[in-house]
Amino acid sequence: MAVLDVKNLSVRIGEKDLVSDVSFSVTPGEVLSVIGPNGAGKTTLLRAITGDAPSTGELRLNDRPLSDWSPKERALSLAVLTQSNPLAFAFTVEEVVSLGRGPHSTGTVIDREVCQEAMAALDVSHLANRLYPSLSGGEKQRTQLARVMAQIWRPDGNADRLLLLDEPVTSLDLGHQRQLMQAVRRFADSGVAVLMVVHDISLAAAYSDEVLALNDGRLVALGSPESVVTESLIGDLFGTEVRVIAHPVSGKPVVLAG
Amino acid sequence: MMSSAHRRSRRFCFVLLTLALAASFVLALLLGAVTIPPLDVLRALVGTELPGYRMEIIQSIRLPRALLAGFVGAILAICGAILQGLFRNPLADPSLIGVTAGASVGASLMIFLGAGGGLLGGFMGASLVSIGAFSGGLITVWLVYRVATGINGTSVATMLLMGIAVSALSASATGLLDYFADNEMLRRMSLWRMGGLDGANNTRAVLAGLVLLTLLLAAPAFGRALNTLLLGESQARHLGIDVERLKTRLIILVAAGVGTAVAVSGSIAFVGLVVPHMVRLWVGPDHRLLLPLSALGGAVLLLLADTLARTALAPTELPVGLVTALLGAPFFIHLLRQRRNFG
Repeated sequence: MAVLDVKNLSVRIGEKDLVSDVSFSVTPGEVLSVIGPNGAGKTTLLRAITGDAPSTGELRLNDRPLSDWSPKERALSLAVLTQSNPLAFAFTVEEVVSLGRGPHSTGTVIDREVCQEAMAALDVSHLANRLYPSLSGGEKQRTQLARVMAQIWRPDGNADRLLLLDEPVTSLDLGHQRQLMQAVRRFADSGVAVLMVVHDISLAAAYSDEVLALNDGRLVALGSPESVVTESLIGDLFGTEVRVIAHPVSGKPVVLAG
Repeated sequence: MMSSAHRRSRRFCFVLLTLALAASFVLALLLGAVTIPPLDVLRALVGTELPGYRMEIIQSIRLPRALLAGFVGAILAICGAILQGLFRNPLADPSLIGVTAGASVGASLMIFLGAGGGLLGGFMGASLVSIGAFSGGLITVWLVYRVATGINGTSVATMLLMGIAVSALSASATGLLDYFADNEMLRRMSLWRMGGLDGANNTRAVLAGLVLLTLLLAAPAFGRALNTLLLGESQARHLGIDVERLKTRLIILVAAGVGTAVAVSGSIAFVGLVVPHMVRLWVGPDHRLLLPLSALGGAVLLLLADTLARTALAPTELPVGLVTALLGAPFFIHLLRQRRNFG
């Protein structure tokens, strides 16, 4: 059964259709990446799902319309990492991560345990007592993801969990990009459905089960990385010439410019 | 120095500030224009008749005034802390949302009408000025909030700009009243604006005490939600917080708190801005600690400032608003210089 079911979703702001008639679903354990050029409506799609942008169509979380979920109940199984996370107050990294436990009433012992595990998964344990404003961009990003993962680290109630990520790796170096994607992959393997917007197509192809290509608010292609990440489709999507080769080890498609 | 190592333990802060509060309260009772020995102060408190109206001085002048100073200081500081969390700006101030400016218009209007009619002098007049300040503050906040709240919720940026606009409007309204006021009224208006606790009596102390009690009882329920709100509004929403309801409740609390404080003691600047900021530099931004500690700190600061205002040039009194700035500003600058990295 799908954790998230999206049917004929459209977002219209003013006279402009930002997302038109998009349908897909995400199941537990699945990583679905949304790719597309700038302004394709990727972030708007996520914002429509989280309720931050007004939309028409059908949105179901665990087979129940999203609008039926109370904010508190929803926070137990749906966690969101937005693109920008401005935080000017001098919380420590550990305090920021523990804010992710806010919706739960699991007690301090379990909350602490979860935060430790989430911080370890994102490689920020050694920063636990550092003040958030003093971190580098990449460290902030990993801290925020640890917070978001801590929010749904373990099932709370019967509902399946869904993680939404908007460009989680954009400000990270190569090593931490890989580490973060592996953490997301492991998280998905523990039964969480993941829907994320990724700029790096090769990265999306390497770690996702399915790739959704979006252009001008419309769904262009949806399927396995091998079927979506092809020279013709990616070339058309981004309006530039590309080569797609198979990764020498994993065999996953890798996109090269020109 | 970029870690949490500089933070003091919560018990240390609570104990220290509680001791400071007790000490400043005793100091406020001991010191004054009339010298009264400590033992007589104690006797006066338990109701022993003393020569030279000492019991009356303690019971009807110094005690209500010390209580009022403590309560108002605590209210201003806790409201400042809530506003700074709400606006996610560590330098936000109760006067930002226009309460102080609106209250000034209300009070000036009452002084203007009261002195002109000749019927509203004395105690009656003072109470009317308080009511004018309170209503002025509430009307302003309501106006700011109504304009800033649209179908997409309350915009913090719009609210800040509205606060500025309303303050400007209020300033021109008070300016107009100043222009038409005679010398006596003008003096009373400007003294009121500087802030003062010389109107202290038991009724005002009880009123401020009740409002403070409400704020302190409500604070634990908002601490965690305010922490989450610091992450951002949509982030807080994703963490299950009903952001719109939270903001509405906080704004009502702040309007009532600051409105009451301004009504009973005029506009006292600086306490609401700096006390929470100093506490934050000390223990970090966690509102579950910040709100109660700010209340303690605000009470201490205003008690000390008022004692100084009463005694420095005795028997003449300085406006306490001037003293709070004199006492706190250098300390604040010192903290900013020392820990500018921890904003």
